[in-house]
Amino acid sequence: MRVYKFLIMTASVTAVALVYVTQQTSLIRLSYDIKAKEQAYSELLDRSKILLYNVRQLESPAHLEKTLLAKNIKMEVPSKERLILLSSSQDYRAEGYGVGNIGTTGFFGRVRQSVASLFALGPEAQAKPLK
Amino acid sequence: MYTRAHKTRLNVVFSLFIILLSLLLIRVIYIQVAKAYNLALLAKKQHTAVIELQPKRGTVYDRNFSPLAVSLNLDSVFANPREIKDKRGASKKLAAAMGLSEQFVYDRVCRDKGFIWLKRKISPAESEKVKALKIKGVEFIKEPKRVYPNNSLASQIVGYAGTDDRGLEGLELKYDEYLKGSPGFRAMLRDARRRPIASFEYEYYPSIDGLDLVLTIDDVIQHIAERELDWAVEKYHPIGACIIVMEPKTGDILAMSSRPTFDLNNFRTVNAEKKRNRAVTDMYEPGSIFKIVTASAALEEKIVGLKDRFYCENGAWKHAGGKVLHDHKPHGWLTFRQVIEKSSNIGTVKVGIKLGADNLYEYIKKFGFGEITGIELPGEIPGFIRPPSKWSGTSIYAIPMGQEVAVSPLQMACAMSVIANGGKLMKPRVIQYIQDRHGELIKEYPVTVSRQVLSEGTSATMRDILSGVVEDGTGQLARVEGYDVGGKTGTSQKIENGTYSHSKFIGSFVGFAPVKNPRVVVVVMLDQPHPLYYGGVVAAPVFSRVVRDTLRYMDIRPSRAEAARREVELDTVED
Repeated sequence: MRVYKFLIMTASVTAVALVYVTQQTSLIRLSYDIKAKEQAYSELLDRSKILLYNVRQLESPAHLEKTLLAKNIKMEVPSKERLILLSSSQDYRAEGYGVGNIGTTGFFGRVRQSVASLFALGPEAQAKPLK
Repeated sequence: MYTRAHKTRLNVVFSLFIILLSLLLIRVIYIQVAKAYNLALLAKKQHTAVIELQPKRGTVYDRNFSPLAVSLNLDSVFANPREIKDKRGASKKLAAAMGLSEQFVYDRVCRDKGFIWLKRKISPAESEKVKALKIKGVEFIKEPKRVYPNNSLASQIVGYAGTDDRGLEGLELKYDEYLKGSPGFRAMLRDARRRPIASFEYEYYPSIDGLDLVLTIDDVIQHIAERELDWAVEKYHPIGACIIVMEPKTGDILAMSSRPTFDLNNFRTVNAEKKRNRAVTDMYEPGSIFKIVTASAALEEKIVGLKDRFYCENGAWKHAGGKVLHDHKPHGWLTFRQVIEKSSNIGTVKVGIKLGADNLYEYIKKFGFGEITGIELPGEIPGFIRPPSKWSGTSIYAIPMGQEVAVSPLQMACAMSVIANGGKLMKPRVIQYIQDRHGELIKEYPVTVSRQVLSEGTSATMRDILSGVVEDGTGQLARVEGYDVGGKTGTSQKIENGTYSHSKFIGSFVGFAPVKNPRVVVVVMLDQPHPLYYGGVVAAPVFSRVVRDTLRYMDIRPSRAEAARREVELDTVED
């Protein structure tokens, strides 16, 4: 009986010890994984920042102008007659064009506006003549 | 047989063991008790990895959130020469990848050391090339580097930070406390290979990243201004030049630049002359552009009317001070308006005399001369103006036309803004606000009206007069097709050995556009241009080119049909 008890106890202690050791080992392994992921994340962030920096450099007015000059692309400001200004449909409506131009007063006007607005899914670019 | 000798030998051996054990015990006690504290500290030091967490330095943005200064983590390449087998071959490849000389790399990798730098903070492209070589013994460390995507753009404003990420010039220096952030640290257990184990963390103080500056500068307008200033520098070879583009209603500086300039990414090889922001640190005698102050004061005080006539002595006037005052071109009778349009020195001085020294001085001070504007840039000078009690007998014949006073180009921009915005002196600002990395507002620099200098009516009249300067007067080369613009030309003699030089001049132009609702004020100043030097010839065209592109960029429609280009005779704009 005593031997049996001793064995049970020893087995229990060993099991607890093994669980503990496994846990600690897993924890350390996990730590290494986290560290590696952190490193990769940080590398990617750095890389993203560098790429954004490169984009910014390429987009800079000085660089664009230099490139255009180098490629001999002769750009000029368009004359007034050649300009068509684009505005969003919201601006357009605010100025009395488009959907908002349908009679909007009174009950029927509001119903008409609601129905019409169903078909206006979102802001869209529309040509507007110069004032 | 167990003899006495055996017993003695046994006792000796036993005693020896006892002594040895006692010594060991003493040593153990010594280690465990006497040295315990120090050894525990040593062990902790060996087991603990303390990682310093460097804060990210804040970014400097322009008003459209285009970065002007950013911090990047770049690779620094080092080698362990003992691990490199084919030293000659490796040197050749590394040198080609990093743009170094082969001999330089070879000398380094041949040293008997475990660590040697090959090149620090290399570009991402170079880093990719070196990584692709996969040479054993060549490793990388990340190091932060401050970089400037636009190279020399707004260099004197932005300034730069050194290798230790500390601001050394410009806004980088003045706002270093905000930009630098504060470091943190992380204390963790480390393994036998000295790798930190994150799950056994003892202490963690996170680093606090630096704050971002959002400027009033617009990188496109800044580019336009710098491009045109370069054009003038190339054409007229001044020893120095500067330009300011300012929004008169807010005091926002949209562009500010000086020549000579420098590349922010290569600041180490540059002398102090190129780093100076002449727009705020230099003062000069403004000459005729200062006449806007005299004229505004006289109108505001109702000393003169637009049609009042002044006799301009046919170009030479021996005044009561005993000296002879000259006009560039002889004029007879001119109306007050024509006096300014033609930039007559004699006419302006007569207006100044009518106004009186005290009144003139009061308005000079009201316009902000003789004191710093309070812009958030380092090294601003207040300029120089003496009170009337210290004026000499000839001062009243000099100050109305911009002599015996010293101003900074920024002060001139502020003064012209008074006329352009309806009479208010605005405090110029180059920073809009400071924010943290999440976009939370930390500190705001609000638009500030310093004081009302002129009435709305006087400023409108002055705008009208100054548009006449460009249409019919000395500023005709400042015209911008499709837009009504106004401004004033100035040519001042530099002082050399205590007297006015006849060979060294400063040509300047200060103007605004459009006349009806001014959106920009531009100051152009060229120091010792040659062979031509008149402000109306060398500085006015720069104004015209800058305003033309800036107004288009700001989507300000032309106010009138594009008139046929008028030929401008050079002698009509010489002043």
